[in-house]
Amino acid sequence: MSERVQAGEFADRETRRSTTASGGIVGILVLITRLVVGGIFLYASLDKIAHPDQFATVIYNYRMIPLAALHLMALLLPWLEAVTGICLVLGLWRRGAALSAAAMTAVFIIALAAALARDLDISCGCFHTDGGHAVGRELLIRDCFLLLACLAIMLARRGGWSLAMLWRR
Amino acid sequence: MGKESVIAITRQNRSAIVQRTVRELAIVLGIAVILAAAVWGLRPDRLPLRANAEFYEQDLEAPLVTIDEALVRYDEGRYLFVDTREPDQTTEGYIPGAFAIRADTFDDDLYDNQDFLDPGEHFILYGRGNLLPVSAVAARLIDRGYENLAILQGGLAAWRSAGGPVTAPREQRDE
Repeated sequence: MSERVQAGEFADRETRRSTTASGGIVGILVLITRLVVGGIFLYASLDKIAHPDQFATVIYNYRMIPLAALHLMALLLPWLEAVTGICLVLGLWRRGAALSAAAMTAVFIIALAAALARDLDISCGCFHTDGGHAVGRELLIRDCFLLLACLAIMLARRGGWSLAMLWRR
Repeated sequence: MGKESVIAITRQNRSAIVQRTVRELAIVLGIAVILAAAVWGLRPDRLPLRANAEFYEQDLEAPLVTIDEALVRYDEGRYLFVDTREPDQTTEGYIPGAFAIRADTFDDDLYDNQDFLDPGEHFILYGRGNLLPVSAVAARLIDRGYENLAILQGGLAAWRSAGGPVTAPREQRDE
């Protein structure tokens, strides 16, 4: 048997193992983390999807995105948050969804840090497009924890309960 | 199986997981793009793909609408037009069917037209071309519960240049 085939089988076995059993305590912890992080992303997307014009203004206030990309980002980012959140809650494409969440959170951390460094008095736009929290260090710390949670979901060998488990039964 | 083979397999295992993760990320991103495009296409009040510098740099109260978009909306008849110019600025005429809501006589104008101006309707506000006075009227309308507002970019002059219908001022029509 070639090494390439063995490696492919290993990856399949990893997926099967993570989808055919909840994975004990670790699996339950990953499941809880997935539900919390996925719920946060899904909830954060709702107001932005409903009011893309207001979300565009929120993004503009950070003064980091060129005008040419502003509306595209305001239209796409909420949907990426929503799809990522749904995938994490349901356990679909766990690692890819967790990587997406981690990448978005990293961007949010950079944006918050840049706003703090420039003393911008703006609302973060994390969950609500009109008003909401002002940019501050506590948000930066919260997002750092969120990033760690995303990385934990991505790197965990077992993903806990998922919709894929139901398909395989 | 030798030690070197085990190490090689472990490397390939990692590589397979990384490839799978990237593939899953592409699927998530693809679904998000499709959903965003579909919903954007279905929304009647869709956000233009290209941001208008004037709107963001002048911090206007309502989004700008281009002349071409305004002409389409005018023909559709689903949007009401609001003339924000003061009476001494209206010698160039009006957009047919527009309601006059001026800053100086805001409350009286709103009272006179209250039977026709349902806050749930979509409105396009226009002026002479300067956006800030129009935005000021938009701010007061927003305070009264009018949410679906847009400001005509370029004002009446741009509308006329683009071939939009313009009615002569009342004084000229009476002659």
